[in-house]
Amino acid sequence: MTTTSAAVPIAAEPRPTGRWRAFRERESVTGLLFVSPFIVGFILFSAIPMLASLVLSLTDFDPREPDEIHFIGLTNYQQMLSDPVLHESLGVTLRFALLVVPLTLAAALGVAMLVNSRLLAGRHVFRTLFYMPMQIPLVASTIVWIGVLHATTGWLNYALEGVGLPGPNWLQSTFWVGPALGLMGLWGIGNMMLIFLAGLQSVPTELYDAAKVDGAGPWASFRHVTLPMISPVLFYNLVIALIAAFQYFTQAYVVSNGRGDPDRATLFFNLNLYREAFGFFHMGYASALAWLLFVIVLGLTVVLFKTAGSWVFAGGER
Amino acid sequence: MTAVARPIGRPPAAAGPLHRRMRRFAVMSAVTLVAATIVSAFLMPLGYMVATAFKDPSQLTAIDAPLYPAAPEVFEYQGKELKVYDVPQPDGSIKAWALLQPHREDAIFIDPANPEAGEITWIGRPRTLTQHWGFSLKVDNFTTAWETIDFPRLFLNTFGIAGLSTLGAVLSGICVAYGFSRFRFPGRNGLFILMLATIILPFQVTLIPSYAVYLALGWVGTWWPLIIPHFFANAYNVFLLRQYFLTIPRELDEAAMIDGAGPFRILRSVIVPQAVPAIIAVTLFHFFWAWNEYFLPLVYLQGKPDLQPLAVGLARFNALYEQQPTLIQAAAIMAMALPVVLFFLAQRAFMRGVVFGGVEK
Amino acid sequence: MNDTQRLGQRPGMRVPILLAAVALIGAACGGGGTAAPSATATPSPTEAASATPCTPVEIEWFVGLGTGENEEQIPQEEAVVEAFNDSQDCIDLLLTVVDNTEAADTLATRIAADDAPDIIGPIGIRALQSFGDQLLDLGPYIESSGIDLSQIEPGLVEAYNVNGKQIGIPMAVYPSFIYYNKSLFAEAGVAEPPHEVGEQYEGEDWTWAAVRELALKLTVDTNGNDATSADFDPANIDVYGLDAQFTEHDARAWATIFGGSGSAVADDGTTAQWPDNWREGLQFMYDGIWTDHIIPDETAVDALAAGNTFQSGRIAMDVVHQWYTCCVYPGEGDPAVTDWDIAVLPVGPDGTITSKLHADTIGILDSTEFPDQAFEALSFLSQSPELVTTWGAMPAIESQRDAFFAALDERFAPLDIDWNVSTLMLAYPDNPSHEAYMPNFQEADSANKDLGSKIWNTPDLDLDAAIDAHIELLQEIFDSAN
Repeated sequence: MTTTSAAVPIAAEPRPTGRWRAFRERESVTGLLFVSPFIVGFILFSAIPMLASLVLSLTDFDPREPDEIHFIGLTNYQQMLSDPVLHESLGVTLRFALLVVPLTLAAALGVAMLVNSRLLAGRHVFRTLFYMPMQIPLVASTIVWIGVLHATTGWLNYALEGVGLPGPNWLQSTFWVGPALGLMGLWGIGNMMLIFLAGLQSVPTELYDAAKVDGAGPWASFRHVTLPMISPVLFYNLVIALIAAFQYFTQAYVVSNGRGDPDRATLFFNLNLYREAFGFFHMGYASALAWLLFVIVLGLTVVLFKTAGSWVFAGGER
Repeated sequence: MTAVARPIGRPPAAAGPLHRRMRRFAVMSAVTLVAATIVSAFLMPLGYMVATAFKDPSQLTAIDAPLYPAAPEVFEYQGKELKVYDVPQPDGSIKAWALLQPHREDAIFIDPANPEAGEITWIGRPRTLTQHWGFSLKVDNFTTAWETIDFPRLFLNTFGIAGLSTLGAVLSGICVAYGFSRFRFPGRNGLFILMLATIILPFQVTLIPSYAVYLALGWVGTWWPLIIPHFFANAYNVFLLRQYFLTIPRELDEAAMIDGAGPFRILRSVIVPQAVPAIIAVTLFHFFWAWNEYFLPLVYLQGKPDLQPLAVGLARFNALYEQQPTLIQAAAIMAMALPVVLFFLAQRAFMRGVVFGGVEK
Repeated sequence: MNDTQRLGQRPGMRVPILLAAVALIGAACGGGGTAAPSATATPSPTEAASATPCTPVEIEWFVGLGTGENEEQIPQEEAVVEAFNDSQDCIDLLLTVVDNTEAADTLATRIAADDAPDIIGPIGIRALQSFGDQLLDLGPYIESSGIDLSQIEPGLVEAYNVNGKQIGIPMAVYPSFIYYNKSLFAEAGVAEPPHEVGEQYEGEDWTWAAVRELALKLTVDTNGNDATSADFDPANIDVYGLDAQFTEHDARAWATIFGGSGSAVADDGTTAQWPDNWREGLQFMYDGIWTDHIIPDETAVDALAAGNTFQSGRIAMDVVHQWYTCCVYPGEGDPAVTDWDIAVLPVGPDGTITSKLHADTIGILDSTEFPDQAFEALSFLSQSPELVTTWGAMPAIESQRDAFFAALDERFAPLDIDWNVSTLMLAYPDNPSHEAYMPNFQEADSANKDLGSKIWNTPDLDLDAAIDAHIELLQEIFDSAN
């Protein structure tokens, strides 16, 4: 495989066709035209709320008393430095991201390969089954998991006891609640699986044949054909999983009575932010928190994009 | 090129066709068995959900109840329903008697085989006895859920909102992703990052300003805030489609170009057919996201129950029956039935799309 | 921080100010033009009602901060709204029902976006701490309309007088008492608890110590050993003697139930404290969970009818409010509790009975454009007994109570519940309320719940040290309230 090096900055010389040259000249305009729905939508629907939240982060805005708003400069940002709850919530979120991002990526890719395999009978059914949890509203599926994970009456602990393992108190233990949420996260791999599947199905079969001719075994053909060819969707899943992990909220809210129980072990960044915004009505401070998260996640995303050049295959990029 | 699938891991050509088929059958059985095991473990919570949905609430907290839906075996005695227990007798045998009145160290039973004999006092601890349970499906949970939740209207609303927003999201997503993946223009990378930025900022802090914007537009209390923005591309979809478009070799565009195709025709006749799996993935992805979207419909459609989608109606039901997991699970199962069927059908199309894409290559 | 610049003064100007601020920032950063012109239009103010005596105005009633958001309650509320709309032509009353969990968020969002409803409620005393400052002083309106408050206990009226403003007319009250499962008493062979104040139990004064003794006998494991036995197995408990369900982790609520009235704020209004009777109360609860095993911990509670513990049939005595008639029934399904009654609360460590009281009212947001019309609607609502009935509350107006109990009797027949207990307990409300004001209320309240969560989940807690740390934390929170 020689085409795996990527992020090709324009390779070929322009073809000497008149039409091609004309196209090149109008490329910027055409490109912007195609992208314009986003630009218009951004201006209409996103720009104002985003900038407003930035402005609010410089105020003591209480949504109940919109008339009592004051500019307080960078006070909110200063306050973040000495907010132990914020530091705790960052830790909780980082640890969770480190656990759940690789875990779900690996599981989703594994499942996608399984349900893409021609050696599997009834692939349609299996795909539907693996995707099924995605069709349960998140709050409802979290309620199901709370039942399954219950220390004494949950099916998971019944199963563990069945094989002679002591089942922990998943949701009330500060240690086990993280792995418990990780398990719950596995239930949400449906979309990732689907996207991997789309990627796997776009790998031309002749590449595998070629690899076979070169004497590649299954691992080598996975490593040198599959991975590079699906690297664009892998990259997508990685970025989206990262963003999702940092914005983790609903499940934490439902599991922890909305308060980060037990003992703040599930006080994720966004749960803390939500509490500040709507629990304590510190919308100004919450906006500052949001922009902190924004900077962190955008920074990580940009770093990922920078590294993408070295591992993400992009046959069609220019 | 051929569209016919060629299996990976073919046995050596020397093996005979019969032997080959046998071996293939064995491998397929093994793989399918492993997959079935994994999927059963994966869907165990779903089993819990179904079992719960068919139970009577009292079974959930009864300490010795079986895991499957069951009802206590009862014996009717003087207008009262008495529960039946296995009662050890002095001679070592066990009799199924109906419990009339338990005490700490003794209990009064009725023998269902011989009720005329009247009350039997048994010495022992009734709390240690095993109760009789019989398999029993409580279908009432589903009827209650159906009667309480206006499923047809909610399904229709959800279809309307999810369908329209998916239409907009997919069309605009294809268009914008094409722009980002095939054209160079000043500020392209910056714009792309800006687009990702819109999904990175937590919605909790943009909620109030967004609400103010939609209020100013007069859209609060309508479907528009849930639909119109998706016609202007959203980052999740654009990003995915862009990633996929990047894998489509440029030579195909250029060949079409030489044939005199303009950018729109290239998009239509080269890019889109090649990207059918991704487009279907995005469609499903967005549709089910919109299907389950809860908070924004709640905020923008509060006080408009006639316009609300399923997720909001379901949440209200859940709040109402918070202490009755049996009803909640029954409602959730009913709510997911339709999307599951849709998905099953859609992913068959997904497969056809792949084959179709293969022909075009 | 106090000399900072005021941004907006008048309601109605918020959206433009917000947008203008954004546009300014945008222009300053060289990104001018990002503010969409189409979005700057203000919602046009509804036409003034002064033109004719009767240009119908819309008044929106927002339900969900307390009770009233349940599916079976909505038709009743709709009927009252319709009755009001039929009774006059000048006001068009609209009903908005929001789920309890999101009600505070959505209300705050709408107030912030200058899209606030006019009437909110039913709200309890706790919700007042969140939105009390935004409520209109009804005093002048009550006076000019001549509404008669004499039928309502003065203490209740007083409960809704916040900072000199009468922000609500009490509509519904919910005293608390002991619901007990008669079958479990028969099984244990013990006498039922007292129904009269001052009545003894088995020759002893009815105190929490007596309740504990009784609960030990009622608590039983799966081997049939009760909690007084040396063989009792706390890992396999079948029936718990005591619970105080639906208290939502609130340590103040538990302290009040088991310890009596108190306040987390000293008289100076700024010093954090935890009165001794509250320490005793929490100690009682903590020992009940972790030493005596007569009270379920949170893990056990989750498995007992998903938190509706009494309904599981595995709780012998449960301290809950009058509103719990919502959720206990012989009725649908195959109920585990078929025979129950109510009993009076015991004398607490402070030497008196305390029946933690909940109350509901409806109020008017002071941002309303039409306070007169809103008050007209509010007075109609506050005098509709069917609303109170549908909320499962005892009417604050004394003359309506007999009808209320008669309706309950009909519902729970053939059981003969001794509702007199409820009336008796109304004379012993917690004062100050367990939901009373604390500086920086939401954070302090959340800290109280963190303490409650610790008590509920930690088997080897040094409770005194935890309370000491909690007082310190509360002080920090109070101090940050400017």
